[in-house]
Amino acid sequence: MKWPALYGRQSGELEITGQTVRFQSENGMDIEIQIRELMIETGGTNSNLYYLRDRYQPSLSITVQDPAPIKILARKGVANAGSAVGKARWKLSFRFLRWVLPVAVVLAVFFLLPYVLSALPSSWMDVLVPPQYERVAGIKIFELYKPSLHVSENHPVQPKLQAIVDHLVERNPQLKAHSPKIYFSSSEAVNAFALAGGIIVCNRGLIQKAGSINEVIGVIGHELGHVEERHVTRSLVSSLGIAGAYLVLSVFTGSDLATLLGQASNLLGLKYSRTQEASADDRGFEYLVRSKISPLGMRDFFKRLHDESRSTAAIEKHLSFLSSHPVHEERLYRIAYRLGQLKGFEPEAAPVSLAELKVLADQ
Amino acid sequence: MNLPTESGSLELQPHSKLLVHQIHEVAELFGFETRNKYEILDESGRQVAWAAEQQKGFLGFLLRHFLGHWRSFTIQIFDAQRRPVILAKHPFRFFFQRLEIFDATGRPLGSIQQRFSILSKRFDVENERGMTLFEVASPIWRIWTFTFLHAGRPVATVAKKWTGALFELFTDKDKFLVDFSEGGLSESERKLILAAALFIDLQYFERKAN
Repeated sequence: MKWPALYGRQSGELEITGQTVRFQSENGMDIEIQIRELMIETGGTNSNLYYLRDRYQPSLSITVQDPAPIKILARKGVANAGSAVGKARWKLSFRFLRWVLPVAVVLAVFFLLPYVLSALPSSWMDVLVPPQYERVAGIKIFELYKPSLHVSENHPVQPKLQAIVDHLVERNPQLKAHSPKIYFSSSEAVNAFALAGGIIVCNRGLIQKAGSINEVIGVIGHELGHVEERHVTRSLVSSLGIAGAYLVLSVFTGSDLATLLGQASNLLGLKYSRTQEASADDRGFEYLVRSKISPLGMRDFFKRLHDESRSTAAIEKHLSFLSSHPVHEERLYRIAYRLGQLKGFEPEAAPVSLAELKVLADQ
Repeated sequence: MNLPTESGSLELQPHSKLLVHQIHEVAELFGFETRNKYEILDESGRQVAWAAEQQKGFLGFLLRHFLGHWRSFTIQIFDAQRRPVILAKHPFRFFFQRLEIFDATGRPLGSIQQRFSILSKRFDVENERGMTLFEVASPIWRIWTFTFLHAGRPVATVAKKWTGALFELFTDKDKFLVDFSEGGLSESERKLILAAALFIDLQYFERKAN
């Protein structure tokens, strides 16, 4: 058995023959060291290198990288061969741990901590980012993006949509602290969404797609759930943490590891939004029940999108809603379960009819 | 341009220092990562060789622009008469980048292998049998200098030369000084160190993937 080896920087092969180790190079160099006179040292900055030296002539040194010949020499009784392999293994592990532990701490501080903070109960969130600050920031962000959202502030349908919101807020006083305000967007995309500071935007596409007024109110209830749970701010806090970790890792390790973290955070973000969606469903369901609005509308709307999403054409059509509100079987089961729990519920008439909403939305 | 197909010869033994100078293209000023090209000059500024990435065309542009140093590519080094003398192949790797070096006849000379590191830049120069000849471990605070060590002793240095704030900011126009500080380096060892200078530029100074 032969292994690649160096004598100085001369390339060759090492062989263990009987009582000697032998180095032979292509250009005829032939060196032998008696095993009983052998001394093994470890070295190398990046990799583990083993130096096989003659104890009486230390300048006679053969270098190998493969630990296999050292293990054979350990079995042949070379005093420090076994410890050399162990020492080399420890050196690499120590170097790995020496850097991995600080990086783990950085990850914990910059990534996990904000992630935990973003999942804190609302009372903690209120201390961290008071709702009035969120409101101010939300309005500024909304003003910035208003043109691209196709929002028309004085559209005739806006007061009707606000009447729905006010109806839900009146029966659910905990929402009053957020002063929710709804805006109408002329976008044809089937979507409604909540922004920071209690701002909700409802698209024309959503009103046109709705099969009943309860479906529209169901979706608005769901968005109010996002408002009460302050999901936008939580996501922002979480994103800041991820951005911080990305920055720190970019500086420490180059972009490769940081890019992987970015990918991982995308996956975490997806999981996080699923949790938010389920929580907004729960809140929205409660608002509807307290407001005597049938939660069947909420279920019907999500179910229809879920069923239609099996066809590619429908996915494209409803991409906007589905991308920000992933509808999963799990969500539908949760709503169906809560509907099953509802006993003696008597819904009342909605404050607005779908027909007038559709007519006004088309203006 | 048609290049001669016969193998050339490159003698690095007479040179104690070389300057690797990246040839700049106007498109880089506008954010496009163009094919990497370098001229290799001796101490008196005379061109002794030049190097060029072989991935041409639109596909090459896309790979350079979107995959950065992750892409697989080949760099050929030519002598002053434009005859190929060294071939460097970079296989696709996410981590622990590698550059495999061959002479003009396709005989392996060795390779440059990036090693695990945090807060430092580490790579090994290996010979044709995969044995580590030189180790480079450049700490984060010494970003411009790469010292090649053999058995803990410096044998060569690759140092990036400052080319002015405007160029450093907006292009990859780099100058590297290769200093063969030890006179006893063999011809193939010098070629490996020269290839390592290109590796350093591609790995640590080229803009990363978009």
